[in-house]
Amino acid sequence: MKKQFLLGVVLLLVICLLGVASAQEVTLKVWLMKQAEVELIKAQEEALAEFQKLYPDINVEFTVFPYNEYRDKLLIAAAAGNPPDVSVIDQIWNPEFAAAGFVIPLDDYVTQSPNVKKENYFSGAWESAVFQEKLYGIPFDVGVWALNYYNKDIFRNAGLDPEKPPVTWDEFYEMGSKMTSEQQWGTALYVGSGDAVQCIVDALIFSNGGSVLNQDFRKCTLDQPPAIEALKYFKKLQSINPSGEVARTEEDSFQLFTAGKIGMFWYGEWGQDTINARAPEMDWALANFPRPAEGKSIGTFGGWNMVIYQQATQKDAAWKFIEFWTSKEINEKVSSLTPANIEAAQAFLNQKRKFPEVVFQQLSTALYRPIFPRYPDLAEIQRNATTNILLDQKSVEEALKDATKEIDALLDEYYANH
Amino acid sequence: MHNKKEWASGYLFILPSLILLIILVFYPLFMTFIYSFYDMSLVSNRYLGWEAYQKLFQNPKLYLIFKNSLTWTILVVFFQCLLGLGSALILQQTFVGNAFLRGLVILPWVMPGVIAGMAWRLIYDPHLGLLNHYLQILGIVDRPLTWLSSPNMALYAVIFTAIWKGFPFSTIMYLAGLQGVPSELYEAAEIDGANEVKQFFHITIPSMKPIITVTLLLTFIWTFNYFELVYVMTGGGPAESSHIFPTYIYDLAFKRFRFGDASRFAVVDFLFLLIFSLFYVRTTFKSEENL
Repeated sequence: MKKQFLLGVVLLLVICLLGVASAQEVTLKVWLMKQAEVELIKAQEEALAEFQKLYPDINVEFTVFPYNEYRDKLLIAAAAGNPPDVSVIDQIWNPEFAAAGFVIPLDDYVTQSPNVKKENYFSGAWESAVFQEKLYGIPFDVGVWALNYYNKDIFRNAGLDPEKPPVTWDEFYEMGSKMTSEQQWGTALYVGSGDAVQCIVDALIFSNGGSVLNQDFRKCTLDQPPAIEALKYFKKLQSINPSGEVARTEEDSFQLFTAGKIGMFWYGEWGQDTINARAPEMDWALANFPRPAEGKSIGTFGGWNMVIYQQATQKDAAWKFIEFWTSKEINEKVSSLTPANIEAAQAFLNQKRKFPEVVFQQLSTALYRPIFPRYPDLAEIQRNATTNILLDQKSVEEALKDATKEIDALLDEYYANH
Repeated sequence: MHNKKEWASGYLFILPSLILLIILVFYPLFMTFIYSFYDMSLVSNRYLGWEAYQKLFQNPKLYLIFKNSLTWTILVVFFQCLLGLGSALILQQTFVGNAFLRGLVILPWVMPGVIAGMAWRLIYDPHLGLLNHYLQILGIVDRPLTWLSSPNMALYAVIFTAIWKGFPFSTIMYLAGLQGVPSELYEAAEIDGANEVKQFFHITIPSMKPIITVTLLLTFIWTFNYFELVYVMTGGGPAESSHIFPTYIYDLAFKRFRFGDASRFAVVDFLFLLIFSLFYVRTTFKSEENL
């Protein structure tokens, strides 16, 4: 009797232990950017519930921060050895996070994955996550700098056909000149202190067949003719633009556009909501980024990639989350920018944006910014060169030659020690 | 025995703040010194030793920022002192609306720096801003001036805003100081036939010397390390021409992740302020002893 009782207890214990082992729940820490839109937050919650249904043993814990705090919080957590398992990061941080060993290569996961395939995503966004031939992130959302927003009324007043926006650099300049008077201008350039100006300048260089760094990112190519021509064109636009551009940010220029002071304005596709909110009466339209007569219209990518951290305790669960979050059905719903998944992007643009074909076309050909772990330093050198050119402190050739020298020194110093 | 016990309880009382000070001030300070000998960023961590400082002193940026910081601090402190003293003298008089005016004067100082910076960015804007608008109406300029986007003017434009933003602090301090000057002194001076100018230089200023000394020291250190206005209004631009120590250190550390470089600039900033404060306090106390 006693023996049987004991046996029973042991059996019960074994069952309990087995039960625990099989239903071992894991907690997955995910960091995302804070969203302002209520609908989007709701969509994220719904998507999360769906994920939970698919993987009942993975417990997802969301942490969100607004953009301004996001990077600092993430860096502190990563440097302190307590990062999340998964997060989104800005494309331009990806090489740095990879070089610092914060995030892991995902190539093996991709080879085994049925859903995550290179061709499902915009190629420029995918390439932005490749560092030294390994893939360190999966694109989540994208944006392209820049599209040409234009004010149809200003076109009409200048005697231009609002259905025929400029296609080439020369057309852009000439139409801009016709709009320029004491109180109104063709466009408003901007430098400011963010990265938007680099995106614009890079896009001009890309469109002119040039690049910032060479193929293996070891040498600067800003002193080559395509870049020199691009910057000369950028400088030329100064005459159809209100003065003060070097202190102006892209948001300041945006205000000039919505205030009806400028006819054309270069910005990403996500600016549409802002125009509708600020100037609902405005009769505006969207065209591709102007190209040189012999060139192709190529924009610069912005956007966010999803990464898995070196110190993540739940790497496999993390990958499952990325697969889910970047899949067509989900990506389309949970992203505030254009989804990086091409099919999702098409659905998203058709539903939420005007001129979806123009935006889609621009996204399909866009390129990423230089891949270099010290990108912020490189960007600062570029910005100073652009500023010096606009302020007439240096000629275009001289400024770009100096910048090339500085960037080469930066590259050499980095690669000598790494 | 009794004495020892008192000592112990004394230490016990300061212990919490001491621990906080060590964790929040001395430890970071110490680590900044250590980091300043490294090439440190997210992607590198290399000991450089004194070579790091050799490189720093060859860096023309250091001299530009030092020059900017000094120009910025001296002009701002000088004009804040002048304006503060002037406004205090006016507000000390009795007239209708004095209390209202006192409240009004203090407004810039209580306004958050970031908001003041953003407001002034708009005021200076060449095409949307008020300043150029009125300058053009008055016929002083015929084209809008680009205050914040020309390297020759940007820093001075921010200095002007900083003077406006900070002078009420000096006003309050000097107003308090003025009220502490014994009125018998003025009465005696009047009897002796001293006019108001003489009274000001021989009574008001000497009696207020301690408060002026402290106010100058405080505003000097605050201004030297004042971050928001420059950061919001120019971001150190155009082409890094208006950076002062705090904004440049922030850029290096948090925009470019160059923690080593940032630490070296911070060490220079710290040592300069330390030497200045020691020197300043010593000379002023010495001259007070001589009085």
